[in-house]
Amino acid sequence: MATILIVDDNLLACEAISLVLESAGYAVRQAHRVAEAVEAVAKSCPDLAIVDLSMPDGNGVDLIRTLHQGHPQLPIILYSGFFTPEDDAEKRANQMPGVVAVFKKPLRNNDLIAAIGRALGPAAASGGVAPKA
Amino acid sequence: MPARRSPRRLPIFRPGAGARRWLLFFAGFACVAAADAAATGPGGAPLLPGLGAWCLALGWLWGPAWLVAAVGAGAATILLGLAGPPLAAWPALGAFALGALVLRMRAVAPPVRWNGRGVVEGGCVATLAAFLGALPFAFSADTVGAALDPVTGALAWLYPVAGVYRLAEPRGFPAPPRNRWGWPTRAADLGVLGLCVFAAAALGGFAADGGWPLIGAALAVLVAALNANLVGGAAAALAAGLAGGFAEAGAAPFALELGNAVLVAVGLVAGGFVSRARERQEDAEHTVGRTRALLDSLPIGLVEIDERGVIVQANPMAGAIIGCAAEELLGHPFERLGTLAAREMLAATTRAIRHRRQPEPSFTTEFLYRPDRTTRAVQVDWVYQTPPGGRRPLRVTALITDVTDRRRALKALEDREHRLAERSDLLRITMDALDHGLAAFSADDSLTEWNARFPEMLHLPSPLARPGTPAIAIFRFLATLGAFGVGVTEGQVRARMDRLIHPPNADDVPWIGGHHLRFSAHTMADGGWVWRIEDRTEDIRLRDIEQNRQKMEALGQLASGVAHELNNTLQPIFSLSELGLAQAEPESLTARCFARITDAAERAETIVRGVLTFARNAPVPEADAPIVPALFDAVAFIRPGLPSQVRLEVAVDDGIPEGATARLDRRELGQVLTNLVTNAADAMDHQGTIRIDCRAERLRYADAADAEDSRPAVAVAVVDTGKGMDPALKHRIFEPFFTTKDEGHGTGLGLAVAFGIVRNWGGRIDVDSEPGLGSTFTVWIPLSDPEREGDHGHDSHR
Repeated sequence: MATILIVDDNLLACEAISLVLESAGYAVRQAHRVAEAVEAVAKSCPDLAIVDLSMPDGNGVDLIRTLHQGHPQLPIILYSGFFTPEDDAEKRANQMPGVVAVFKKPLRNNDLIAAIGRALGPAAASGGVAPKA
Repeated sequence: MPARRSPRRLPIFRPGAGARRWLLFFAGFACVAAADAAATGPGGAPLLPGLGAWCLALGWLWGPAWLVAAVGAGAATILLGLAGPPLAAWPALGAFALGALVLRMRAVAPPVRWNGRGVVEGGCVATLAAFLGALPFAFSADTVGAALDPVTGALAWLYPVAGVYRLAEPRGFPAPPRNRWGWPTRAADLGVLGLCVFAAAALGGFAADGGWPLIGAALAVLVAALNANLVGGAAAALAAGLAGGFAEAGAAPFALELGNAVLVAVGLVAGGFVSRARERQEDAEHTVGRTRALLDSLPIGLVEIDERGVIVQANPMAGAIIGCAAEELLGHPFERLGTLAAREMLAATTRAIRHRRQPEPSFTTEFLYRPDRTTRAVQVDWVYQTPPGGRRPLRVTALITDVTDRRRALKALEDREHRLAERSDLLRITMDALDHGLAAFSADDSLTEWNARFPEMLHLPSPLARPGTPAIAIFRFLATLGAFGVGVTEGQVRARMDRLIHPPNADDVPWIGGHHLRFSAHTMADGGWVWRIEDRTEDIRLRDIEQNRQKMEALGQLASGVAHELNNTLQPIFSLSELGLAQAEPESLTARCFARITDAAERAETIVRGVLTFARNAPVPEADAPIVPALFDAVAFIRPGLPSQVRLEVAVDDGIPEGATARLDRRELGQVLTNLVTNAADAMDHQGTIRIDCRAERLRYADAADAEDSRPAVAVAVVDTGKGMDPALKHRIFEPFFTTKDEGHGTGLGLAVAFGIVRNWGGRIDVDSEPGLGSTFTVWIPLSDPEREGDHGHDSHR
């Protein structure tokens, strides 16, 4: 079972995405600060990280760079409330090392799970609730 | 003709030397008296005192020369008397006297000269008088002659006494009135004269022994004086003499008496003429003297030139102007006075005079040469002395006025006027170049000066823009334009005038035609005031735009923050509602509930997206889009969605450069135009025509210092004929969530989104609207300009 780290200072959003991912069959760990996130990655070696751009104790971009330097193989999904639909999300994602997908808040469950599936492979999840089409 | 020169005279004989004249008189009289006394002796005839006195009187009246001649004649008579029988000498003396008389008559009334001819003439006449006086003596016995003495004596004394009177007569200005013989006509003067006559008669009578004749003669002369008629007086004296002669002697031969009387009459008449001539001469001399004094004191130089062009007379002023003594000028050719340049002109005049041609009547200014090598500007006027009978001028008088100082002063005055005019022009140009209206009013509130902007800003017609227009008339006119509202009274007009002339603070006053004016006044030292009018319309417009920009920026920051928070909050709603929906039984109540929550969250997401569009700073697209095709694409996209009764017309001006491009996103352009056209259709209640006008125009930013700070742009105007807006509405129309539509018919984000998009292009969106007249929303899309790319600071913050 793949482990996914969610880094978001917004507890409600963090909790909600955890529920969605757990129901999809992933093991989920949460971090609400940059420091927590670095510590969690070092300790539990997650298979994938979902990172919010804004943090109370640091920049999400710097965090992504740190994570990528420590774990170059770690795929990262970036999401933020600052993005707007017209922005070229793909381009931003490509500009950052290790980022496999970029979403704006609010992101939809199907999009998220599809992106995780692309990053980890379909076998990574186990026992989860299959999302409805 | 020789130059007229004043005759030389002994100083003692100058007019007015009264004391010396008297001295001379008494000296002459003493000589005659001494001669008489020597001649008569114990048995001599008493004729000589009378004869001597006659000569003396005539001499005194006719001048000093005659006086000497008379003394000489008296001496001759005495010598003849001493020589023995006098009769032998009389014919020779008579012939001499006649000749002298002829000589005398030939010279018509010239002044008597102290020269050889004058002495000869005087001597001749005196001798004639002596001859006539001695004539009766020659025919009478000694006793008879003595009887006539009182009359002749009285008459002889008359002139000396009259002379006393004339010296004592009142002088002054104006002179006492006189008759044509020169005798006084006033009663007081006549009384004095009568006393003099009586004194003469008394002297003459007491010298002899007559009584009657003395009184008669005195009365006769008095009558003559009263009648101012010497001829009448002479007749009266003749009658008195005859009567006196008969009464005295009785036995005297009638012829003798008659002769003596005739002698007296002739003497009187001749004396009268002589006196008159003498007075004329004195007057003439006096006039000449006064004229000369006048000419000498004139501030004008006078130079008399004879027919040879030579200066024959000059007054002191002429010498002062030319720079030498007046006498030094005499005998010089006139043209020598001129500078070399002026000499030819002067020479032409003197040539004309020499050839007796009529020269130019007047002369222009010239420079005269001065010994100190300086020049003076002078004005030369010519006066021609044309003798009676129309003969050509023989002499010319040049009137020379020194105009150097006058010219200098005139030049200085002209210079000053010129400078003043220049400064006046400068002031006028400066005033006209001002963007403010300026008008100067005098202390009595009437218009004196104004610049071009003044009538223009107040819409003053030309009859009011005149000097002297009262300020109140201007304000009455402004009231008729409606500047102070409708139906204002005269009192209100005056109150407004006071407030606009002396505004309590620098307020911008709303004015006719949507303008805003600011009034101020400056009082001048003389009580006048200068009224300054500033057109604040553009300033206010720019200020409003800037305020609006700041407001929009603040709103954008607020909206951005709110939208971000809302997105964060929407995340769990989406996640969990979708998760719930997935877990719930399909079509169950739970599933429907989660589905509604998801729908509501989607609606909220749409709103947040709009707010972020208004607020965000999106990156500028990297590629340029051709502007005109993009516009047509957008219109083609809009048209199907419009209500059927709404027509959409598009006009593209030729001024837009061929192939003009702009750095924008076609979808955004479509969204902006859609929002504007939808709003327009709503404002027209979904019927009518909406026009989209596209034209080339320069985009000027609100905070731009001048028109230079602008860039080429395409202005896309969406014109509707709908309800329009008032200014208050206009100010808020681009705020997010501000809407005039009914609840549920719009989020109030359409124009805010358009505003945000256009701002991201580096463009501008603005609205022009009047209530009831529709609105025009204009979008300025800056055109791509590779040369200016990156150096325009406005891109970064718009």
